[in-house]
Amino acid sequence: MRQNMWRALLISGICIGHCALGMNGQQVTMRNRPVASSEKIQAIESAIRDRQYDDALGMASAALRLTPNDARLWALEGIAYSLRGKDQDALAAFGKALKISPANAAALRGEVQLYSKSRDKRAIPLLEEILKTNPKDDTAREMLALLEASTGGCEAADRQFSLMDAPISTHPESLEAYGNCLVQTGQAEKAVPLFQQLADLLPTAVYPRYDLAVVLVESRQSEAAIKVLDPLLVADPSDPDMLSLASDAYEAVGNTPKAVALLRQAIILSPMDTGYYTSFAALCLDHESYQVGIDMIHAGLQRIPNDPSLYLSLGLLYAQLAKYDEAEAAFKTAGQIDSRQSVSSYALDLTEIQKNHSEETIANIREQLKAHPNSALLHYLFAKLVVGQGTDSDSKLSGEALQSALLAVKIKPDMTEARDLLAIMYTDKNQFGPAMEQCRLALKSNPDDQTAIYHLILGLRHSQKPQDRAEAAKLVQRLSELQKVGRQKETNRKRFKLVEEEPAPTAKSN
Amino acid sequence: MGGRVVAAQKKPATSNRPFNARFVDVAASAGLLAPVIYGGVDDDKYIIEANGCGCAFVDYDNDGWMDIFLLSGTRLSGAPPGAGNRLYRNNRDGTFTDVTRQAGLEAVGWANSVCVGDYNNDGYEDLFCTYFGQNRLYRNMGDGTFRDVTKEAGLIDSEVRWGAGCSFVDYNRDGHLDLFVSNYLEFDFSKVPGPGAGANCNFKGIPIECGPRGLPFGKHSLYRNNGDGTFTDVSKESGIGQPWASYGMTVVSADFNEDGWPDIYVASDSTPSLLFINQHDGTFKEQGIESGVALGSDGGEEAGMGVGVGDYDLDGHIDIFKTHFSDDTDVLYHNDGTGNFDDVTLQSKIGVETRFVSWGTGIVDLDNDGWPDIFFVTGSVYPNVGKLLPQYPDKSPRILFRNLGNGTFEEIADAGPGVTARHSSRGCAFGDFDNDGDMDILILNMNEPPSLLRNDVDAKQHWLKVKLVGTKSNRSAIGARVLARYSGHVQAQEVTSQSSYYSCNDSRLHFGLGQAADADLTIHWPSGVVEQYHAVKCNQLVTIKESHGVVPNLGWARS
Repeated sequence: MRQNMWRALLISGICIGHCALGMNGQQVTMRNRPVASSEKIQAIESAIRDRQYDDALGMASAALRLTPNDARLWALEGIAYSLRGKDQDALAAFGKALKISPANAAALRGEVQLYSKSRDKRAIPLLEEILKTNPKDDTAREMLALLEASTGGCEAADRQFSLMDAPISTHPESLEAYGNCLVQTGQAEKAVPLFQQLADLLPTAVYPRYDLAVVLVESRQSEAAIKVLDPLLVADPSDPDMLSLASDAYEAVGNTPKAVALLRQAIILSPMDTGYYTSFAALCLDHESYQVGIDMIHAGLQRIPNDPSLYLSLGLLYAQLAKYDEAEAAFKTAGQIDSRQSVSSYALDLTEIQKNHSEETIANIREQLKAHPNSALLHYLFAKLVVGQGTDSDSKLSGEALQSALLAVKIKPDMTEARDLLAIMYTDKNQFGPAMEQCRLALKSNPDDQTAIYHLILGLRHSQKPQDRAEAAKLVQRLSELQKVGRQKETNRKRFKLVEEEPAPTAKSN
Repeated sequence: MGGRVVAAQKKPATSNRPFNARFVDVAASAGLLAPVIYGGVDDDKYIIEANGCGCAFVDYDNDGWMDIFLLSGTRLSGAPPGAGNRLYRNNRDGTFTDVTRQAGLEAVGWANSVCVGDYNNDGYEDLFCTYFGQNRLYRNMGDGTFRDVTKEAGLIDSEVRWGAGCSFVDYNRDGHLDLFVSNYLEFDFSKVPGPGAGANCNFKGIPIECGPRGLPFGKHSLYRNNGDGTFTDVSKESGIGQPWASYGMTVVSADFNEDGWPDIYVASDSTPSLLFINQHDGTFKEQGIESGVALGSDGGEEAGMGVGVGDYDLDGHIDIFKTHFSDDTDVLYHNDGTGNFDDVTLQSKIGVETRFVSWGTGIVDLDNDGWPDIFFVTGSVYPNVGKLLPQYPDKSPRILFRNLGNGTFEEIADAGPGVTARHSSRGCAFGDFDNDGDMDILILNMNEPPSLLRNDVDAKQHWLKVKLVGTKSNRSAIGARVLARYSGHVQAQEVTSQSSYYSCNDSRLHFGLGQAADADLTIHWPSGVVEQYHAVKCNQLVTIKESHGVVPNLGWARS
């Protein structure tokens, strides 16, 4: 598909009978410069269309000797070079054309094509230039969107894709890129139809279905995900990623036994992948089956002895059993294995908090922040601890905590916990405006954030405006609904308890 | 019950100020010997065994001395001999006599709470007791006996319910006490799984009795007093009977928004607590979340069990203190006088204590320094867990926070052996059983005799007690609000029918006055009548009858 699009863009630069016109239709050929005859131009174009690129190049070269300032000839030479695979010569020719006539459409498109081929960001301003003069050019817009997507500009890509008039349902690359961008920008639900189209477009390929299942799980359409995954698993039950994804989907619909079975299978098939062990630990945490989780993590550690994430999971499981010493030891080991990551420091501090050693923990975090100054988690934890101490909100320490919390959201803008904490801190200072602002930002990242909703209600009740009162009333209702759903989920989650049905995989000597 | 884990805040440096109250448990010498039977001793199979019950200081014979009423439960295997509720008559010499049988109050069952009020305005305090099963209204016959009038009062339930908190409240201000009952949850022995056998049946990986999470909510009830000894169920039309997501426990009625009409606060376990605001037309609007008294500061649901009300910062408004599970702070809500509350748990330094499951409580001036303190009792609901996890002991001490008078509290490590002693306690009631001018504490202990903490406070501090008798208002003056002005402060108190945990305090309002020799009193009667009394001298009980002024005290030894 990709090649077709590039060729389409390039060939569209050949505008039979209208090459002398710029993209807005204006006359761009300078009258005081000698220009090639229209017969010569048409002959070169004809050769290109007939894929007689060498003939086209010969004619263009001959014509250029006579009229070296004719931008159209340089552009045609560039197109012929490009289609001939001589990218550098093509770029040189397009460059000359654009020097003579900066808005020459054919040269612009030619350059775009070449830059785009190598994901070169220099194509972006050229495409924008094309779109400025012709906003309806969906080919250029699609290319721009793809370029943005491939260079990490997902929000810009989203904008461009959504501005397109023509559907992209027949362009797998665009469907995939757009879909991935939507997932990356937290719009998994919007990505579902795109991956569905991709799957329809490539019926024999597995990856579009897998991607579709991923976005379905992410957008909480787990029943639909299961419908996609089940046939894939029947066809090939040996893909551990697929098994793990299916496990997530089954867990989400409350079929914990199936979820456990699938995840166990994934571990057996890929016993060196720590992710499956930690997913299993997460299942155990949800179902209060801590010892089963601990056993599985130990099995994982026999195979992968130095993995910090396994120790982190182990620590979390021990903490749930109130075995804080064991938890602390596991977190410490995680930190020793990988001192660069701050998560184990965070977990260690959480253990200290649970052991009611908050004062020492504050001092520890100060030290850890020196090693991890960009750890949003540690900044958040520091602020949380200071707030938890009931420190006078006007004190120097509280000021420090406020700065830390603000840093946490600066480093990680979607860290709702830190925004919630900021809302609490501002509320304590009777600064309801900033508190509500943080709540609204938190809700942007997580519309189900109950702390943010609650503090927004508390802020709004200080307003006398009827619309604020009405919003507060709606939020109360929303909060009650979320609590109800949360209770139900909790009960469903805890309904199943994991038991050791089969031995956890153990290390084998090869 | 539990679930949240909140770190305790750091204990501030001690003030080094002397605390002038000291508590000694005199229950045994006072004759309060019978153990309160309630569920398993070493472990519980069902949640019904875990929550325990309340107690009351009540002057049932109008002799001016607080008598004691203690509820009791039973066991799954059947009630052992001697199990049952107890009424102890005050002998006025520091001892009590068990008069349960003579009074006609013998009853065995899963009792939960007691609320006290003169529902028929005959001059004698009646008792209402909630049960898993059928609640009971005991009419005080005025001759030392009670009669179970549940049926004739129209209070028979058509189905088995788990009656929890209750409160007499004159919600329509017609001078007759109506009745609010919270119902905890729908419980069926045949449907609830055993320990560890279902959702919400484990604690830190240890099997425990299931619930309350996962069990159906109870529906709360409001009964209107018809003025003829009967009640009409008005739960539906009043808005109370809606299916709230609430495991309702202790009920406190007070005029929280100071509009002259009584509101109702229901501490709720593992669900948002409820605040029913009186709409003046026979209906209530639930506004717990908007008012800021439903949830923790993070918007999370807490295990609300006990409630103390009082004016801790002497601004003339009734604040709320609510007790929770271990690993969570209890919460202090400050009332701005309009019914809007702010969570001041951390600012007030109450958050230093998170070790124990907390139950009965009160905002009560225990050292008579003029600043109400906070006291609560503790005890695990999982007797089996403590053996495996010592940090969650079955029996734990009582907790006392002295008010430092600057918006903060200080936990008192040693206020006497009565406070440090470890029990698994539930209800507690505050009152002056020996009429010596300080507040003593009656505590209900699970599967043990109760504790009676005699307060031996330093006599240099002054105090004033106010007993109110309604005429146009209900005779018990429940809902009457007293503002006491002394030393430049104003303290609000209301006469309540239930608070603490499922318990009822001495109805004589007690004001510690510090060094003040007198106080000005403003009384807002439920009828709307407002009365002022200037320079009422300290160290006395004054009995004030609505529209009649000060009248002689009943049997008060020190008047």
